[in-house]
Amino acid sequence: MIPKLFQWLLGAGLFIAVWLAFVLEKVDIQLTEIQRTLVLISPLLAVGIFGLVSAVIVLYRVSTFNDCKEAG
Amino acid sequence: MADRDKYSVLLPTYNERENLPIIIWLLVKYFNESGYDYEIIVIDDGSPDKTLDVAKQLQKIYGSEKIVLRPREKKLGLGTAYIHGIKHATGNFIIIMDADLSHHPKFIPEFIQKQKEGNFDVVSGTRYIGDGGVAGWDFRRKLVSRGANYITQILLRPGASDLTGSFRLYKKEVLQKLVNSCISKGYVFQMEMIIRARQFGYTIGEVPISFVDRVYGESKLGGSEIIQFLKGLLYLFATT
Repeated sequence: MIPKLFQWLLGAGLFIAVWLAFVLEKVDIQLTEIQRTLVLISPLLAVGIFGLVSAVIVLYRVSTFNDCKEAG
Repeated sequence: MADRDKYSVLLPTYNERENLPIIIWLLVKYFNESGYDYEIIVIDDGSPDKTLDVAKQLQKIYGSEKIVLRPREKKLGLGTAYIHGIKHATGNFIIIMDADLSHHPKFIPEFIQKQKEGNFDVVSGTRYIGDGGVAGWDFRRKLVSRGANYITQILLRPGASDLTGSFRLYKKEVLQKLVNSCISKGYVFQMEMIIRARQFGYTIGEVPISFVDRVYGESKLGGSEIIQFLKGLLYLFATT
């Protein structure tokens, strides 16, 4: 099995390759101005949304973490 | 119960003279009630509080069949304690748990049932699912625990919900192989055990447990603990 680190690098590499292809206009697809902006900031968006979702998940799990009072 | 399975409980101890009689009494109680064959192997690392003397008295009460003493000269770490214990274990299953009453023996019959259900190679106690939980943790402690667990789940995808817990049941030969291939220490050791188990293709079952932290304090969640944890996490991230 490929170590997790390299799985992540592979995934990130693929994403960046596709992203660069769009940003540097190597692909023959016409984008509107809004679409172009979205593509440009998509890495930031991805990280931001991931962080936000993570924070919500962790806080939810903290709030539902059982307190076993009778065991104490 | 008409099966031939025998369960060896490994109890590494260090200054547990107060807790040892209670934990052993509870272990004997729950094993007798459930009818499984068992032995308790006490591995005392030269405790200055003379835990070993207490253990010897307990051995007189419960018999040397049930209470096996395998002391060592000094504190030598958890991994080697397991290796030492396995060497002397006569059971085909090994149960590891803390001797300080963080883990309640009442869960052991559930571990055994779970193991039989799926013929699992490892059954791991988990604080994070079902009725599992913790006792007496404040918000910060819960947040650190949940946060660390979340990051670990994302990075390692281990297929088990509780990686740093140390209340587990293993098939003997599985534990042997895992201990031999794990090099980490402390917290990370338990994590590496379960990650390697997944790597080797062993099956893992889970039982919700309540965890009562007896040594909550600076010793367990200081800055150096967190750094040690992160280093271990990155090590496993890059190598497994």
